[in-house]
Amino acid sequence: MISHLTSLVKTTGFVYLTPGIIVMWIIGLTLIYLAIKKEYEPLLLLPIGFGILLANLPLSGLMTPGEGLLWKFYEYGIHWEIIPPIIFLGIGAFTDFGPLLANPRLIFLGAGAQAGVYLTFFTAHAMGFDIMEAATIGIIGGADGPTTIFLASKLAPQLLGACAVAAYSYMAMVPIIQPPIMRLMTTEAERKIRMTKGRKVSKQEKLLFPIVSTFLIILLVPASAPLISMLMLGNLFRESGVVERLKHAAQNELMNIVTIFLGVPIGATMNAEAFLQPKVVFIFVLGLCAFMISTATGILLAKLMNLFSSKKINPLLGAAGVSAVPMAARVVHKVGTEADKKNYLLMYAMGPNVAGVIGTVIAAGIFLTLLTS
Amino acid sequence: MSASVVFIGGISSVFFGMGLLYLSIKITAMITARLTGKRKENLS
Repeated sequence: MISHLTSLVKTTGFVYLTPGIIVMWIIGLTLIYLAIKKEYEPLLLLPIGFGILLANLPLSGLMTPGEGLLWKFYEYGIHWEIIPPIIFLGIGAFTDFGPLLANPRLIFLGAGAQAGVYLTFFTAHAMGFDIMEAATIGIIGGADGPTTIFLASKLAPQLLGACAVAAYSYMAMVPIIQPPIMRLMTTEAERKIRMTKGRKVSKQEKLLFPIVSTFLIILLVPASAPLISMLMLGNLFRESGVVERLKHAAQNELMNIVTIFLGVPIGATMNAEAFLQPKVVFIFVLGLCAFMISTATGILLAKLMNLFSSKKINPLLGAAGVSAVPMAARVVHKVGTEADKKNYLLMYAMGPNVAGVIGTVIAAGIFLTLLTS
Repeated sequence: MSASVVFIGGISSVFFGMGLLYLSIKITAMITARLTGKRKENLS
C-alpha cells in the first residue's frame, strides 16, 4: 500500500521541486505583476511571465524537444524565423515614414544610436562572452524586441530568454532611463532649439520609399532580408491605400496572434538550469549599458551634425534614434517641452525613431553576415 | 572573425547603409517632384 502511494507521489511534480524552480516562479510572477500592475510592456511581459511558470513546472513536458507544445511554438515560430518577421509586418503597417522623409538627414541619428550596440558588443566580448553571445547582448541596445529575438535565435539561442526580457524591460523603462542621460548631455539652450519645418512629402514618395529601401537594404545586407522585407511590405500595405483589409489584419489580428505565440515560448526557454547563471546578471547589466550608450551616442551625433550645419538639430532628437517606437519619441517631446513649453518635437522625433528601427535591423543583419559566413 | 573587425565593420556598414538610404530618399524626392511638376504642366 505504502509503496503504491510512494510511486503515486513520484508521478507528481512536487517531488521534483528545487530552490531554482521556486526562484523562477518568483521571476515569472514578478513579470506578470509588472505587466498587470505597472503596465510595463504587458503584451509581451505577461505571456513571457506565464511561459516562465509553465517551463518550470516539473514533468509538464511542455518544452520536451519534438513533443512539447511550447517547444513546437518555439521551434516552428521562432527558430524557423516565422514570428519576428510577422511582427515586423505589423510594425511596418503601423509606421509612418513621413517624418523621416520630410527631414532625411535625421536618418543618421538612427545610425548614431547603433554605436551603443557595437560598443557593448565589444565590451561583452572583452568580458569573456563568446563572439556570438556578445553580438546578441549588444543588439539589446537597439531597443528592438523582435530584432533581438531574431538575432538571439540565430546566434545564441541559450540567451534568448534573458535577452528578450532585458530588451522588453528596458523598452518599458525608456521614460525612466533616457531623461537623465538627455538632461546630462544637453544644455538648457540646446533643449530649446526649435526644429525648422520639414518639406511636404508627396504620396508618391511615401509609396516609393518601402520599395526602394527594400532593394537597397537587402542588396547591401542580405541577411536582414526577413525583417526588412516584412517591415516594408507592411508599410506598402499602409501607403498603397488599396489593401485596407490587409493593413488592418497586419496591424491587429495577425500582430496580436503572433504576439501570443512569441511571448509564451520565449518565457518557456527560461528554465532554472539555463537562466539562473551568473552571466544572466551580466546580460542585464550590459543590456542596460547598451541602451544608455545608444541614447548618448545618438545625442552626441546630433551635436556633431550641428557643428557642420546651419539648420540646427535639437540634440534631444538623437535619443530617439533607439528604436523603441514611439516611446522614445514621446520622451524626447516631454523633455523638450520641459525646457520650452511650445517646442513640439514629437513629429520630428518620429523621424530618427523609425530610422532607429531600420538601423537596428541593419546592425543585426551585419552581425549575422560577419559572424555566420 | 575578430571582435575589432566586427566592431569597425559593423559601425561603418550601418552608417554606409543609412547614407545610401538618405541618398535614395533625396533622389526619390527629386524624381517625384519632377514627375508631379510635369503632370501639372500637362494639365494646365
